[in-house]
Order: sequence, then structure tokens, then C-alpha cells
Amino acid sequence: MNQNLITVLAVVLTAIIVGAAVYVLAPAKTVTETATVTKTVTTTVTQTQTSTVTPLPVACPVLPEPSEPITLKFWKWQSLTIVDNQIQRVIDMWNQLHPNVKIEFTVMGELSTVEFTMKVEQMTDAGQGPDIVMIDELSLADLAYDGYLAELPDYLQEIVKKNIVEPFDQITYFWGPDGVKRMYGFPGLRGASVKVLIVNDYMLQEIGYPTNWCPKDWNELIDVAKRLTKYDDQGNLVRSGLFVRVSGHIGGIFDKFGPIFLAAGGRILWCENGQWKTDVNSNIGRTVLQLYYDVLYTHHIYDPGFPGDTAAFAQELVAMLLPREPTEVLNALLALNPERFRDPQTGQFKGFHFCPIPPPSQNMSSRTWLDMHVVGVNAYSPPERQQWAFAFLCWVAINKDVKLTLFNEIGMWAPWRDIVNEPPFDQLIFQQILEIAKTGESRVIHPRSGSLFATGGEVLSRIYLKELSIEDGLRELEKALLEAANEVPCVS
Amino acid sequence: MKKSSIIKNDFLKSLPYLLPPLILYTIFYFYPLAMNIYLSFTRWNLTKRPPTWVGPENYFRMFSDPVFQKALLNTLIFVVSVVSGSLLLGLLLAISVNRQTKLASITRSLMLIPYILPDIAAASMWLIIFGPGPSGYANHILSLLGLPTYSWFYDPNLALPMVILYSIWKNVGFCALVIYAGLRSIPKDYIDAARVDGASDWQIYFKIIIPLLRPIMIFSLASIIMMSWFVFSSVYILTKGGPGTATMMLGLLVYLEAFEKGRAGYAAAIAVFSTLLVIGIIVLQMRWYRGYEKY
Repeated sequence: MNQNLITVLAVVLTAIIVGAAVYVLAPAKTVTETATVTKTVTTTVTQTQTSTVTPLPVACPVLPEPSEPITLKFWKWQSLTIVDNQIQRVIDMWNQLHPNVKIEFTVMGELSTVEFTMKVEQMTDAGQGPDIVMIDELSLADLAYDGYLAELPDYLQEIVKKNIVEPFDQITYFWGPDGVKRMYGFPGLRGASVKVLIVNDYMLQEIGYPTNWCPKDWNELIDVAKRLTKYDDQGNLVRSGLFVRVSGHIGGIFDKFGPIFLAAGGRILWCENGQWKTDVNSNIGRTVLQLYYDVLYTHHIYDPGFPGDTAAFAQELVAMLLPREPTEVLNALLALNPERFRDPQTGQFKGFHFCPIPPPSQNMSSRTWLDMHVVGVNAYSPPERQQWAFAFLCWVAINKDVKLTLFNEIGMWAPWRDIVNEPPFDQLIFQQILEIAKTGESRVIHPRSGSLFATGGEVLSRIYLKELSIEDGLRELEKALLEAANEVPCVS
Repeated sequence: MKKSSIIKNDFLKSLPYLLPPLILYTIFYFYPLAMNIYLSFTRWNLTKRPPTWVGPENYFRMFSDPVFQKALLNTLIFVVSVVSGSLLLGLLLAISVNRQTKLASITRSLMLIPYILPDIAAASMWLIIFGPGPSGYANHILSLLGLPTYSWFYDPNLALPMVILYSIWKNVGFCALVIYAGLRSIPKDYIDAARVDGASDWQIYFKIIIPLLRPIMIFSLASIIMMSWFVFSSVYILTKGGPGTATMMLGLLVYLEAFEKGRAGYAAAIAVFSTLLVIGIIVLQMRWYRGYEKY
């Protein structure tokens, strides 16, 4: 038996070593296929100077420095080192300017959004809550509705309204505990985004398309996606022409469905005569789900077992992403394939572009969702700390250098009027974001949007994977969304 | 002295010793348990707004919820497969390493590595090896050999078997170690006596060693049942319950309902139900064990 054991172990070890050696020595199949398209690609940078004008800086009220040192607690959800370091730099700048008003920055990367909001609320109840919080807008809506956020003071509301690019101002308004929308949010220190179609220019060139091509409707989108898709001899996908999100985080599944549904003419959720309404169970819903089915099953452009999302786009395993946030893609490109997508000399991004979410037919308009992490100030913080928290936000808002420190170096775009046309945001891709954002609207469709997204995403994942038929799925989606929505009374 | 006063006296004397653990248990175990049972009869989204009493609604909802039914079925399949796979392979591994050679000693140390690796590291490693499409190591080797490639964790038909396989790989070392300890505790005299009586190797294993290992096997069985019944982190990392609901488990469903959808009351009901179910299984198992104790 001992001899047998040795033999088995020897075979297993040999297999592992041989396997590893084969893997290391043999180049990956997809790399060889994509390596042939490294031709010279010149991306014409067309400067579109938009109507955004740089407003005059507005002064923030001068507060007398406190005699006793105070510390403001700033809690941020989600860890993203590159962003967190920049925020820490800005906080260090503030702490130098105000030695008696120190900001203590804590990143809570390990918590889900619900865990984070729960922690903020429970710690606040215990008298140990943060003074400033930063989280995605869906979760900030929970804090506002539960009464944990202070409305921005008038001077700060004015500054935000004057300085932020429309329609991003929509994302600063949230339902209060009385069901009335007020400005509780300040644009986040992490960059904003808009959900767009992202296209690889090198692959477009391969099939003879211009590098500024954008689909006018879904037929054109599918047609080009089919041409961009590649299979091996056994019919396995080796390059997907179009990635659509069908699995993963359930809230994210709904988040990516939303813009396509809007572009198809849908509304998703609204309040009418004191009742929540949804139009997901409609022909619009059927059309959108058919698009997913066409991509997954009819044309086999993408399958759930193939690499997807931003990482696969950066590795050129996927030609287009529908829909995705440019900021997320830029991060992936810089981390995984910088030499291919960024000119080392000029620092200009290259080899990809952003398009509006195409509507099903040409006579319809594109619509999408905006995306922005938001900062709020705790309503239960003592008045002095609240004032200083707002003063900090005001300092960020009117200080161009601070904003350029936050957004410039990390390639993150933010919708502040005084920086959107400054380098590096004068590049084509950032100007495209600015243009596409005009078709955008806030994702905060309900005071409990986060749980609504998760509920909807779970049903959608079952439809995409054919656990539910389209008809049954749409009925279930409608029921689930209304049930989640009715947790909160609707104020018309 | 009367018997009752002796008992009372003993009780008073033992109280100072019993009180600290009793208080700790009440605060950290009984109170949360009672709160969880209470919450299972409410609707609550984990925020400051107080829970609303809804009676047994969450329990009725559970049995008409197809995702819960799928999660229950998946959990049962998962537990049965992981328990039987881990115990059987653990037994074989323990028998293989139950000898005094250098290789056996090295193998004994190596076999524990998957068990002591944190789930985040081990599961991430599996995700890289069994990555989707041509980028995964396993698929790359298969394609070099001219064999078809698979979507492993992303194929609705393969995802659950893959999660099961991962969990067996993760737990087999633990089972093997426990069984190995049991093997070492069997008196050598029994085996020598059997050999003198002319028993073959197989007879020794099946008639002496395995019956004597029963208590240790029961312990491993209970441990693995509990570990696999409430499986969460590995499934969360590997598949997040998907694709669709292909790998949805009760533990993960509780998390998703409470912390993604904000339905803490419903999540509490699922947790209560699933705890009662596993307690039932363990009780049955203990009874079965008592039946064999007389062996």
C-alpha cells in the first residue's frame, strides 16, 4: 500500500509540474489572436467645448477656529486604494490648515452597503457615529430617509447648484423622513460616472468600422457584436462581442438592466396617486429581456461562463460592455493593460471610446442612469461639528486644486464645472462622458433603492439563466419590485 | 439534614461558579437567539425604524418562495455530498498515512493545508485555476490536450458540483486527521490477535478497525454536517449563489435577504427554520449513535 501511495503521489506531483510548465511555456490562445491587431491606431481627439462655464468662486463662511481641538469622524464605504490615498491627501491638506479641526478618515472596505448604513445608524444611536459619511447614492438614500442626514445649509446648496454639471445635481436630492426631497448629499470625493456602452477601437478596426462608431439601434449593436465575436474550432467563445451582466452581485444585475430598460422607453418605478407603479411587466420589459436572450442564446455572443466585465474588456476578451461606468473601466485598463490603452508619452487614453446606450430603434432617444458616490453630514452630530463638516465640504467645493488632487491624478472624472474642461478631462473620452451624461438621470428611484435593486436583480438573474420564462419572470419581477417599493409609503 | 436542603445548599455553593458563564451565555447566546426568534415574526429592514409584528407571515412566505426551496434543496444535496465525500476520502487518506514512514509523515502535514487555508485565499485560488473561458488554467490545459473546455463555476449544471468538490477538498484533511487520531488510539493488541486468528487485511479493516472508529466517525460527521449546513464564505466567494440560483444555499440566502434586500425578519425566519432542521438531524444522528454504543 505504501508503494501504491508513493506511486499515486508521484503521478499527481508530476501532473502538476507538467501542467504548470505547459502553461508557463505555452502562450495563451487569446493573446495570440488579439496580438495581430496592434496596428497604428490614431484616435482623433475632437474637442467638444460644451456649454459648461466656469462660475466665479463663491466664498465659504469663515468659522472662528475652535479653542479646544475637535475631531470630525469621516467614514467611507468601500475600499479603493488609489481613491482612498487621494482623499487622505486632501484630508491631510485640511488638517494642516485647521490644526484644531482634525478629520479622521476611516475606510470600511469590508462591509456591504447595508452593513455600512446599519453601522452608521447604530453607532450614531450609541453616540459614537461619524460626522461625515460617504457611500453610493442608493445607500445614502436609506440614511436620509431614516433621518440620519442633515440638509445642506443654504450657502452650500447654492455652491453645489452653481458648480455641478447638470443633471448630476439630481443625485444630491434625497427623500427625507417625511417623504419630501431635499438636498442631503454632496458630490462624492470618488468621482462620478454615467452608464455607457464601452467599445474597443482596435477590434472595430479589425472588422473595418471607424473608431468613433456608435450603434444607432439594437439591430446594429447585435450585428456588430456578432462580427466581433470569435469562436475556436470546437465552437467555444474565445472573444465575446458584447458583455451583458447576468450574474454576480444581485444589486449590480438590476443596476445594469436599468439603463437598457430606460433606453427602451421604460420608467421602472414611479409614484402616482399615492401608489407605487412599475412598467417592467410590459412590452418594453419583453423587448429588453429578448435583447439579453439574443446575446446569450440566439447568437451566442456572450455566455455566463466566459470572462466578462471590466477585467475582460481590459484583457481584450470582450469587445463591448453594455452598460458600464467609465470610471470603473479606466481603473481596470490602467491596472491590467496600461500600455495598450494609454499613451505613455502624452498620458492620453486610447483604443476605446464611450457611446450612449443605444435605444431599440432609431426613432427613440438614448437614456441612462447616472452614478455618483455621495457625502452626507450626520444630523445627530453636535452643531459645532456639523458646521465644520459642512465647512470642509465647502472648502472642497470651491477649491479647484483640491478637486484636481482628488480627481486628476487618479483619472477619475467628477462633474464640477471648473474642472470638466481642464486637463486631463479635456481628453475625448472625458468629453464623451460629459455629453452622454446629458441623457442621464438619477438611479435613486425610491427611498429604499438598494433593497429594490437587490430584489429585482435576483429575479432578473433567474430569468437570464432561464430558471424562469420571460413571461413568468416579468410577472415575478413586477410583484417583487412593488412589494419592495410598498415598504415605504409613496408621497405623490 | 434533609435531602432538599442539601440540594439547596449545593446549589447556593455552586452559584458563584455558574453565574459568570450563565450571564455570558445569556448575553451572547440566549438573548441573540431569542431576538432572532422574535425578529422572525416581524418585518424589519435593519434600520432605526422599529420592526413591525407580522405573525407567522415570514414562515408562510418561506414555503411559497421558490428561491428558498431551491436553497433548501441545494443545501441538502451539498451537505450529503460533502459529508459522504469528506468522510470516505478522509478515511482512505487516514488509512494511507497510518504508518511510520517519512512520506506518510510529510503527507499528514500536507493534507491539512487546504483546511487551514482561509476560504478567501483557497476559493480565490480555485477561481483562478477554474477561471472561465480560455484564461483559466484548467481550461487551458484541457484545450492543449484537445479536450472540450468548461465554464466550471458559471455553468448552471456544473457550478454546484464544483462548489461541492471545493468543499470536499477543503474538509478532507480535517476528517483524515480526526480519523487518523482514532486509528492511532486503537489498541494494537486487537489487530495482532486478529492476525493470529488468521484474519486478512480486509477483514481487519472491516471487522475491527472501522467498527472501532465509529465514535470518531460520528464526531466527524456531526462537525462536517454543521460546517456544511451553514456554508457561506466559500459559496459567496466562488459563485455568490449563482448562476441564477444554481448554488444558492440557506446560509447565503439568510445573508442576502438581510444584508442585500434589507428583509431581516424573513432572513431570521429562514435562520430559525434551518437551525431547527440541523438540530433535528444531529439529534437523529445521536440517537442512531446510541443504538451502536452497545456494540
